Amino acid sequence: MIVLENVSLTYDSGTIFQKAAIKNVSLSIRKGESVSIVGKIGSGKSTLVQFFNGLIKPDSGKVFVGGEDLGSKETNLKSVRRKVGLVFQYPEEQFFAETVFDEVAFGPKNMGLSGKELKDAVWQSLSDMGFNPSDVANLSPFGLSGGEKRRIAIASIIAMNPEVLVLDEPTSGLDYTGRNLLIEYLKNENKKGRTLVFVTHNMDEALEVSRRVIAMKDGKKVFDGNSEDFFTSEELVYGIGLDVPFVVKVWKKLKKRFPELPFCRSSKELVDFLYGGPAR
Amino acid sequence: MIRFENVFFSYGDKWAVQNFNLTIRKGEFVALLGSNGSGKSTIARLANGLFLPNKGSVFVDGFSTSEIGEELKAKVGLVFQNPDDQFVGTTVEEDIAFGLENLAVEREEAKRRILEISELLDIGKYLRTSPSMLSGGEKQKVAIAGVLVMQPRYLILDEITALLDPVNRKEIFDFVFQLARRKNIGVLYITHISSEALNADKVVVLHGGKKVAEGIPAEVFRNFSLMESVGVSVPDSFYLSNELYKLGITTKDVLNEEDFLKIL
Repeated sequence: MIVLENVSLTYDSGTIFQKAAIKNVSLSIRKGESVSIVGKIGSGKSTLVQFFNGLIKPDSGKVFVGGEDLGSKETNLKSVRRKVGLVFQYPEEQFFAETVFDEVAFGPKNMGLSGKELKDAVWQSLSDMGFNPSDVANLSPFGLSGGEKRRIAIASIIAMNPEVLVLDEPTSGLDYTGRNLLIEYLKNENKKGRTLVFVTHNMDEALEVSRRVIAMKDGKKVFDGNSEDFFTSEELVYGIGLDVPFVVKVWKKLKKRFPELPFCRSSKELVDFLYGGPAR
Repeated sequence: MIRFENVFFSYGDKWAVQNFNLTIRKGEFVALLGSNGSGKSTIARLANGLFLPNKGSVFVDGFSTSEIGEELKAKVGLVFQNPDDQFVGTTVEEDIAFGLENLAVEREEAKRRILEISELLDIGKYLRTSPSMLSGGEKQKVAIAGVLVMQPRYLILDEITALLDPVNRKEIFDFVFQLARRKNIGVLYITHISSEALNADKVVVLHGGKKVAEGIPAEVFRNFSLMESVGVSVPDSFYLSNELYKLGITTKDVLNEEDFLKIL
């Protein structure tokens, strides 16, 4: 679905501020996968995902989405951006509409939706984000709380029904309830077949959401593989400047006493298993 | 001490804080938890007189915030989540010095304090750098330094680690926690990350602008159903410890991650 071949990018090239942001990264994300991209702040993860819908172009290397070369003049970037929906960090800072309805409807309207079809798309995405649509549709998005604004911003992307949903630190600043709602939504969407790319520096969330992890350090890809392999390699995780999720630390200790204990991705999963429940 | 007495505050016709009472003593570390929109950040702004209550009073060392001058306000240092929103200087040094200039602190004394604090926070090498060139963790250190140079008696820290990665988050948290202990500074630490509240002297939970729980961490977090109903997470270590104890896998119910891993 998304392929990067030997992609590199340097910011402010030729000036004293020159910084190599991405260094020769190759990767491939298949349809229906859920991939977490992890790394410290400044490791290049936010830059990396902006290649995925052609928002930025590499200095060298190639980017393909659905087989189309984004560097080719014949590629229609508009249609690529419909396929790959990107939720930026702090998307609520880009609000512009007077009502929640108009904010969420903007994308699908540009795709040609109107009338009942448009309303259904807006209503569904608001409802997916935990709102009662008729309660919020006519409110100003600017008057909502921080967590509500974030969920409206995400609704405005999912209303376009993209094949691939890319979210850059979507839970940052969200409270426990908002975070849980979003994480459950993402897991369900992936189960239904939507490709998911989840950028985060929260390791508990990366573990819970994705079976595959891509780890970035100083603009380089330093790990690409199974999240269980990643999070159980303490040396690797600490070497990147990240932390091992607490539940993995506990699981490792318990595994010695309970060899049949399967790998657990959340505390609840661990407790459910220990109680003999249907955790997995 | 900072004392909130029956404080009410509204934005328009909506109460953001209702009948709120709290004391923060010098040297005390108080964690304030609550969901988005529960009133936490309003409490932060009420604590140093940035907002004044509609009803009730906030006192800082016995003086009402509606009456205190700039100098006493500076004794209650306020640091927000996003350091980018707080920078005023073109260099780190100018930025840290800003508050001191407003307080008319003498040049030599200002310089001495800036050097001392920047060494303490390990940002001395950046004094002539633009804040915009720093990483997220370094920027937050600069914002904290700008408050610490004013020698506050109290610190109000509003989700200061929310934008940081785990390593920077731990570094910043450990720094303010230990500094407050060492310098006897009273801290109101506002956070979504409940594990950061585990070492607090007191945990306060807000919901809909009202205080719904106050006590030592073990007491507050033990009320699982209340925490769930007000959208506040119980720290993983506490949840797991409690469940494993109930299952008879461990013989003690502990609070902290380190203690829990030790008994496993």
